Amino acid sequence: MKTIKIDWAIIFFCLTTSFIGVMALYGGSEYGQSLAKKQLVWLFLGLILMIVFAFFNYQNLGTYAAILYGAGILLLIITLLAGTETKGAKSWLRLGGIGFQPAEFMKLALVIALAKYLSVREKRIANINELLVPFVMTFIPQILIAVQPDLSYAVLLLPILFVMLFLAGANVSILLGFVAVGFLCLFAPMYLEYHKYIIIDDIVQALRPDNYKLSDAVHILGFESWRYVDKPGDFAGIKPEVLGWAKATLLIPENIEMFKKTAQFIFAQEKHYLRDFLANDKAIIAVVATCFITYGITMFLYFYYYKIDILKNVGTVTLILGLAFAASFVMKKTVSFKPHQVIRIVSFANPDKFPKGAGYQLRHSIITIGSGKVFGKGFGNGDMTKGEISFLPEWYNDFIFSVIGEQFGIIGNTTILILLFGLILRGVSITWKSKDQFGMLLAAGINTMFFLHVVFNTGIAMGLLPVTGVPLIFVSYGGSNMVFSCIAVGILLNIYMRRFINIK
Amino acid sequence: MDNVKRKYLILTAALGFAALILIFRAYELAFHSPVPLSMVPQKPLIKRGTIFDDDGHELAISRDTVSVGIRPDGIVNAETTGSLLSSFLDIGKSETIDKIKNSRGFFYLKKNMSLSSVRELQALRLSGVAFEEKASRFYPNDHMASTIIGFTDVDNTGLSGIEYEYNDYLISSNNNQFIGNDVHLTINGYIQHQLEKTLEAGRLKSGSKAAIGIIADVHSGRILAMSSLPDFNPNNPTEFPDNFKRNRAITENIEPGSTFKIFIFAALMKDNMLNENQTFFCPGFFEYKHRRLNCSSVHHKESLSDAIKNSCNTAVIEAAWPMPVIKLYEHLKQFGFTSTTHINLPGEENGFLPAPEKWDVSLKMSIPIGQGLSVTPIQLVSAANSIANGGIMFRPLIVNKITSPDGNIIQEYPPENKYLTVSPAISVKLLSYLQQVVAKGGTGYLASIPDFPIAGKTSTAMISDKTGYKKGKYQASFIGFFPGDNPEISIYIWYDEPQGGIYQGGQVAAPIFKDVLQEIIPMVHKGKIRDTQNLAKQKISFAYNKNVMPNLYKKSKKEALFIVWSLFPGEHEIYGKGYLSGQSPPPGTKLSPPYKFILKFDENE
Repeated sequence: MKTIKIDWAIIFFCLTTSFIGVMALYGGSEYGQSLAKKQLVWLFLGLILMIVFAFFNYQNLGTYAAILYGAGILLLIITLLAGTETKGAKSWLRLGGIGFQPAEFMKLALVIALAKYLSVREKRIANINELLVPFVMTFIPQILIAVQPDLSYAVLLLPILFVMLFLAGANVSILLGFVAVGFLCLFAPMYLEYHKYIIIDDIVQALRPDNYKLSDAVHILGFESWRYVDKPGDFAGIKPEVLGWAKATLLIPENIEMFKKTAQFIFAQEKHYLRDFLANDKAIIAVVATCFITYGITMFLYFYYYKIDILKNVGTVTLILGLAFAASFVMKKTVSFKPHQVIRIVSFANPDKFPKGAGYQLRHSIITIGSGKVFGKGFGNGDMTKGEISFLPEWYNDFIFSVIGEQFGIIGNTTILILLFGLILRGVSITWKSKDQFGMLLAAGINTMFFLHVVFNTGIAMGLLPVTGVPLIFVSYGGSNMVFSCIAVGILLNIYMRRFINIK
Repeated sequence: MDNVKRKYLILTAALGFAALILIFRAYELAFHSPVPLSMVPQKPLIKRGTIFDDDGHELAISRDTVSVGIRPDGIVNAETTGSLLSSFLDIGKSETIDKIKNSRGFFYLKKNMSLSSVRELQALRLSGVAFEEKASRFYPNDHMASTIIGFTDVDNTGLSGIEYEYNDYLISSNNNQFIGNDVHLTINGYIQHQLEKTLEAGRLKSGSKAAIGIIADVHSGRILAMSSLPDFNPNNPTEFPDNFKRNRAITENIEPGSTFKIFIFAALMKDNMLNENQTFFCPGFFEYKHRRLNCSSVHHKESLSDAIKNSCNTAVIEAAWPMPVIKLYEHLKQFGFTSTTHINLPGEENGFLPAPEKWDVSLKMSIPIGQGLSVTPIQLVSAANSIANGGIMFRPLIVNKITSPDGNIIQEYPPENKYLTVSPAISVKLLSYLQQVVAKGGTGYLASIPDFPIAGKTSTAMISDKTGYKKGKYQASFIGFFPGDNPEISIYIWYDEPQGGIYQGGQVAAPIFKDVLQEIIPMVHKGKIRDTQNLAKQKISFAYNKNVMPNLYKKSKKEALFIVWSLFPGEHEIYGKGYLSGQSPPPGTKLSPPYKFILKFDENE
């Protein structure tokens, strides 16, 4: 038993960050005090689970990988069917009064499943064909999460896959190709939605002289009008209140026609090549077809006549482009983005376009951080979190980093970043020291997950990334995140303990 | 293994890089706080305080107004938007459409309208049409006291008069109401109105280029009315030339003429150089070493009293001749003729009195008759006040007090007596002479009112410029005191270049003095102006408590509105005309600002 070595550093990092988080919550407001108490309960539960997962041999997790993965997918499907809707997303599952976020579970289950698969297929992973399975494994939960829709978690899964593939020995150029696919996949539909969003006001104006009722209806519904216009069949039986009236008015077939015509007219009035290209299904299909045909020709030439590298490279590029456009096309046709996501992303690029709308949180977060200056306003002295409607919305969750900045200043922010990156660095060293491929990939996946949470959350809070809403591990208020982060640390401890021999 | 090591290096480097970027950004935020401009907490716009007259009537107020602006790039259809706007804002349709089509950047279509007038337009939410609400200055009396109050620019900053001098008080708020402090003037709205009305009538009648009138309380230096014509409408200051916006009463350097003789005689009396029984001989001119200065007529032998009554130049020069120049200069300085009076208005001039060493023979002859030097009207009035009140030199006051919007006094301006100029005995003596001026046969007879003692002095001054005195151009003025034996108020009337042959002070200015005085004698109340002012205030405060809704039933619209506007300023709804038939809230209701009454008037009531 001499060989049992617990990595006390990682436990230290995880406990200190948790306590700083609890302090920030407690000092935030009266509401925050009750949250802080709950958070301590979650932390206690998390620590118990951390110990359980530390002593349970991690290689057994590999054995159950398929079951865990399947359970995750099942939970996501149940969430879609019977989940609780908050802020326009069905991402919560209520079990006996306790809310639970299946996406958190899925994240961990995916890491385990991928680690298992990639370690089994270690030798052949450099081959392109071998990449299909891990991608499918990632895409299934990704799509299930994306349609909730909780875009931030969906986006989070992709980098985890890439880092794990990278460490498992996959071809880097292919990986980069898939990054391009992923990007275009999200970009094209979102870009189109953005354009739909910004012309709503113009549509209202254009409709006014001819059909003032329809104009008013569109005005009331705003961006949502597009949802009704695109799928008029889904909205039968509307209650007779203001929104109901507006919906009913809009849903009259002639009005829908009129709306579409007006929108087309407005789009036609101002030329925009990228938008028109992305919106044009035929053009996209043509591009995809051309790409695939070019790929086929070049590959044919390469394999049967000339073994020239240029041909192979052209083939790769066209394949990636074709796949990217094809994916974006599929995405556009299947996933409908929620207005708030589009606006959030747009507002990052141009916060002044929506002075009181989507850029609101971003601005307020930046102001909150900046207001703390070097030493902060002191524990419990922050003003931005006080009040029934606080200056900074959702400060206890997505913007806890800003609250720490306000109360403890730059010292607090730097400390929390050093502690979290310390945690990740310990994780990297565990990855490095792990005795087998499965442990290595598992630790790497967990680390990437942690890293993404830290970068996304703090980057959002400081206005470096679009607002999407990812919790800060151990610091943000939230049971699911706390518990699963603790379990993940437990797994890391487990891998560290068993780095030399196999302890049963 | 090398390959694996390289991979770890890449990943760790990426990790460190990300951490560095995040920490750098945190520092950047803490030290530079790149707060978007639109989120910087803006200095709250403070509603400019009110300027009140002595009785609590509003001379300048701040109203909430809205301006309609156009962002041409936001307009979808210039024709429809333009025609809609033109119908709502009451402006030309085609020119509005043209304006929208032809301009590139943001512009204001119509400014400073009342909030209610655009409410319907706002409800339409036309794209490209912006509404900007702000408090803007409004002067309910238009021209009245405009040169005293001054005006503000588009940003609500005072540019002249009280608005300029008290800008800091008017826009500073001591509480969180975002309303500036109020300035209470010594000006009495009623007296000011009478002065302006009569002064303007006289100006038109005489065809004068400009006119000045000042009415002051001689026992405190408070200015009750001050007018400078032509004046301007502070609601549209840009429509008037700059010269109209000048307050001549404090900025005009005038040659005082014969009114100045008062101070020469006072100086002589102070040095016991004037004998009551002294007689003068006037051959129609004064001559010294072949320099001759003409008198208005040949007065022959005359007593001192007659010399003043006739405004005889020869007599005053002869009397002043023995007095050493430096001595006379010192006496005149004591009357304040070389320095500003420090009235609380911007841009005051200080006149010009030549230094004694420069007094040559011609100046020694002309200064006693008020030529060859210049004074400002306010200097003249404050010096004359000291003669009238027994010798006390007061600083002229135009501001009574400054209060916060809820009525707490921030600063008060009590009368400031500086020093004594003449003894009470001299004052009494001089006043008795000056009463003779207004008596039958005196130059100021036209200023007399039967049964009322009035003292005064006329002046018909020649006008000089660089080339010398202009022929046939005069400035007619009159300074008078009421009541003449124990004055309470002084009135100064001055006209520049009266046309049409009648140009003497006694003919042009003296009747105007009489007209004004006749109108305001009820206010002065037989010489007890201070008491009547208090009485006037008490009358209102006895009858109507500011916290209780008064009973206004059966009062005439004018009367009711006078009470309502003076005591309960606010956005009241007023319907009909005639006599009050309905009021909300009912009488006796406890009130607190903001006031909002509904008053209904009926002609048959």
